Amino acid sequence: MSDARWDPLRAELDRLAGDARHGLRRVQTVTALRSELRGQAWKPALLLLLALSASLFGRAFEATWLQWGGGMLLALALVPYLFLAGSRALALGRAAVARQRALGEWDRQCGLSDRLTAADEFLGTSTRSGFMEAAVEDADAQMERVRAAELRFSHTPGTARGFVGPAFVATGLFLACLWAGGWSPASADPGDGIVVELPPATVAQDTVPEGEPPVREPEPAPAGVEGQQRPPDEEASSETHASDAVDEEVNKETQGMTGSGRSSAAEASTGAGSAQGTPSKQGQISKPGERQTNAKKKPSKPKAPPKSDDKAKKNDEQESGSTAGRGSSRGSNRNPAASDWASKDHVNTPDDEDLDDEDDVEDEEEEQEARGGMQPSLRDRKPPVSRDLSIGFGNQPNPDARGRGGPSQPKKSRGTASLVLGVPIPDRIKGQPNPGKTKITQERVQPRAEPASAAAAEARPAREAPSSALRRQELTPWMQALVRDWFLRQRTRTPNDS
Amino acid sequence: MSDPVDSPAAAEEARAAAENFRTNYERIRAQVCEAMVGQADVVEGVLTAMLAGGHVLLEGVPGLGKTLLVRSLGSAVDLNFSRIQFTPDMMPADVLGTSILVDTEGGGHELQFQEGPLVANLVLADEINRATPKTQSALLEAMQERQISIGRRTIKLQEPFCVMATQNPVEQEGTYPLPEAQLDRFLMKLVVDYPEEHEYREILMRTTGGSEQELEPVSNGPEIIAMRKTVRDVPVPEAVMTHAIRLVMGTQPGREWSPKLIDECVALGSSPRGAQALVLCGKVKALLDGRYAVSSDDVRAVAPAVLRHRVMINFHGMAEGTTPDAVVKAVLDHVHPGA
Repeated sequence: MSDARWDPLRAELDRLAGDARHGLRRVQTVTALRSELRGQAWKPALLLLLALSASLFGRAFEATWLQWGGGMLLALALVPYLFLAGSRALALGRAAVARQRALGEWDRQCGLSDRLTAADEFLGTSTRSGFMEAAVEDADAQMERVRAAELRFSHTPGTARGFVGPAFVATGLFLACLWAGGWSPASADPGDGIVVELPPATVAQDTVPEGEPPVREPEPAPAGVEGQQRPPDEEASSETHASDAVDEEVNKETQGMTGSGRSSAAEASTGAGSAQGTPSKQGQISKPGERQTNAKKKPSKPKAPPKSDDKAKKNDEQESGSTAGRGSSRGSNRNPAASDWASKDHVNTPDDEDLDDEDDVEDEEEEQEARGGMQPSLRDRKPPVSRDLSIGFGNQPNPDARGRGGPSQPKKSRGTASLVLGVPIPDRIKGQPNPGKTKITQERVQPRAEPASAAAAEARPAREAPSSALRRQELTPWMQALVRDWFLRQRTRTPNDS
Repeated sequence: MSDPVDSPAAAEEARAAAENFRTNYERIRAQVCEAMVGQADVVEGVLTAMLAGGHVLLEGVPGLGKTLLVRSLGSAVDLNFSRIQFTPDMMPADVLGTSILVDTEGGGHELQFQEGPLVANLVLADEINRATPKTQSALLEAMQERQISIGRRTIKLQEPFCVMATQNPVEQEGTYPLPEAQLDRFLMKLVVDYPEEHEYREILMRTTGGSEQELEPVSNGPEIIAMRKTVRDVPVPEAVMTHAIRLVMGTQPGREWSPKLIDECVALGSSPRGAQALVLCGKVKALLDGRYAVSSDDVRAVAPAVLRHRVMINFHGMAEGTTPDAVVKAVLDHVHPGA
C-alpha cells in the first residue's frame, strides 16, 4: 500500500529523475557520436587511402577511369560513414535511461551516498522495515540540498567538438596526402590529361625494326583543335612533358629497355612483355636485328635464365664458405655466419657445375650423414599394426559394428583386444649408439673488437628495502669437519712451510 | 504491507538502534585505542569484522601490535577470550580439545572430555601459519559452522564467536600458507603497516614508562549480539547488491565484469562468500556513517580488505609482480556503480 505521506517525495523524485534523464540522454548521444567517430574512423581512412592509391595508379598508367574512380571513392567514403555514425548516435541517445541511473547521478553529484536511489526503491516496496522507513526519511531530509543543486554533465555538447576534432583532422590529413600525391580534380579531367605526342616519323624510325612493317599510329589531332581545347599555359606544360617523354623514350631505346622491337603479339600481352623486358635491363646494348632473334629464342627455353641464376647463386654461396663443396661438410655452405671473405682453399670442381634437381635427394642423404649416421626417416615409419580382431576388414573398423557387438576402434582398450600386443617391437633399431661422425666447421673470420662500455666502480650503497626471508647457509657435518681441519692445519703450519 | 500508523514508530526504533550501535562502537574503539596507538584503519576493520559476525586475519611484520590489538579488544569487551600460539608441532586436539583420563572418587579412572582453547568467544590464533595444515584445518568447521566435532561429540560454540588470526608475511621458513578454504572463511584480511613518526613517540611514551595500561571492559556479549542484529537489519538497495555482485564477479577470470588484468594474472577469484562479506561490511560502514541503507561507496570502501585474500595470483601475475591489492584496484576501476 502506498503511503500518502511520501507522495510529495515521490513527485520530487519523479521530477529529479526526469531532469537527469534528459541530461543523460544528451550525454549519451554525444558519447555515442564520439565513440562512433573514433571507432569507425578507420573506414573512411581506408577508403581515402584507396582513393589516393587509385588516383596515383590512374596517373601512372594514364587510366583516367581510375582517377575518376578514386575521386568517386573519396566522395562516397564520407557519406555512409557520417550517416552511420549519426544514426547510431541518435539511436543510442534515444535509448531509455533507467530511473535508478538518473537518480544515481543526483546522488553522485550531491554526495548523497545513494540516499535518493535507496529511498526511491524503498518507496516502491509494499512492506517497509524500520530501517527502510528511516532511509526514506533520511532522503527526504536531504531534499533541500538537492533542490539547491544543479546537475552538471561532464560531456556537454560544447565539449563534443573536441572529440569530433581528431576525425576531421584525420580527414584533412588524408586530403592533404591526396593533394600531395598529385591527385586533383583538374588532373582527373580526361580532357586535360597528359598526352605524350611523338612525331610519327620519329616513332617509325626508332621503334620499328628492319624488315617489319611499322605499327600504325592513330592520326594526331589537328593542332588547332588541340589548342582550342586546352589553355595556353597547360599546352606549354604538356609540350614540355611531351618533349621530356620523348627524350626519356630515346634513352630507353639506346639501352634496349623499351622492348619495342618485339612482335605485336608480344606487345599485346602485358605480363609477357614485362617478363621479356627483364634481360634487356641488364645493360645489354642490342641491335634491332638481334632483338627479334632474342624474342624468338626466349620462348624455346624459358627456364634457362633462372637456372643460370641459380648456378651463379650456388657458386656465390660456395665461395662464401671456407669448407665449401667437401663431402659431408657441404652443409656448412648454409651457415649464415660465413663471411664474404673468400676462402683460399676453395677449388672449383667440374662436378659443382652439374648440379641439378637430383641434388635434393643427395642432399638429404648427406644431411643424414652429417647428423651423425643413419637416422630414422619419416619414410621408414609404417602404420601401427591393427589391433582389430574382426575378420575381413583389415585396418578398417567393422562398418556393421557401429560401436557395438565387436572390437571396433572406439572399444580398442576394452576386452581381449587390449591384451593383445598391438605395438610391434623391432628387433633392430636403425642408427648407431655412438655420436657418429664429427663435423667440424672452420671459418676464417677476421677478429673484430666488440664495442662495450666499461663499468665504473662505485661504492655499494646501503640496502634500502627490508630484507626478506634469508636462507642460512649451513654446512653438512662432514664439510664442517673438513673446514675445521683445514683451518687447524693452517694455524699449526710453521712459517717455514709457507 | 506497510502500516502508515506504525511506520514512523518503526523508523524511530531503527534510528535508536543505529544510534545505539554507533555509541557502543565508539566506546569499544576508544577503549581499544587506549592501548593501541594509531592503526585507526586496522582497529576499525577488526571491529567491523567482529560486528559483522566474521573473522579477521591480521598480517604484518613482527612488532606492529597485532597481538596487542586483539588482546586489547578481548579486554575491552567482556568476552571469554583465549589465545592459541600456533606452533609446527601442534595437533588438532590441542585446539579442539580431547578426552583425558581422570581419577574418580572411588579410586577408578574415567575418560573426561576437556575443551580446547577454541571453545571461547574471542579466539586469538597467533601466527596461525606456523601450524601444519592439519591443525589449521581444525578451525574450518568452527569458523563456518560455529561448532566443533570431536568423535561423536559436537559442541556448539557460544555466540559471539570470532577468530582473530595473525600471520607474519616475511618469515616464511617453517610456515605453512593457509589453504584457500580457510582464507575464504576470514571476512577481512587487514594489513598492519608501520606507524607514523608521531605515533612512534606515543608508543614509546606508553610502553617504556613505569605504569602499564589497564583496560576496562566497556561492552559485553549480549551487546555485541544486539549490534550484530542491528547490522543484519540494514537494508541493501538492489543497485548496491548488483554492484557488490559485479565486483566479486570482476575478480573471477573470464567473466563479463573482469578487466584484462584479471584474465591474465588471476588463477582464482572470489567466491560468493566474498559478496556476502562485502554486503555485511558495507552495512556496518553505512551505520557508522549515519545512514540507514548501504550505498555503493560503502561496498567499494571495504572491497580491498574483503577481497584481497580471496584472489589467487597465477604464475604469470607473480612474475609480473601483480599483487592482490592491485587486482582489487583494477576491479574497482573497471566496475562502476550504476553501470
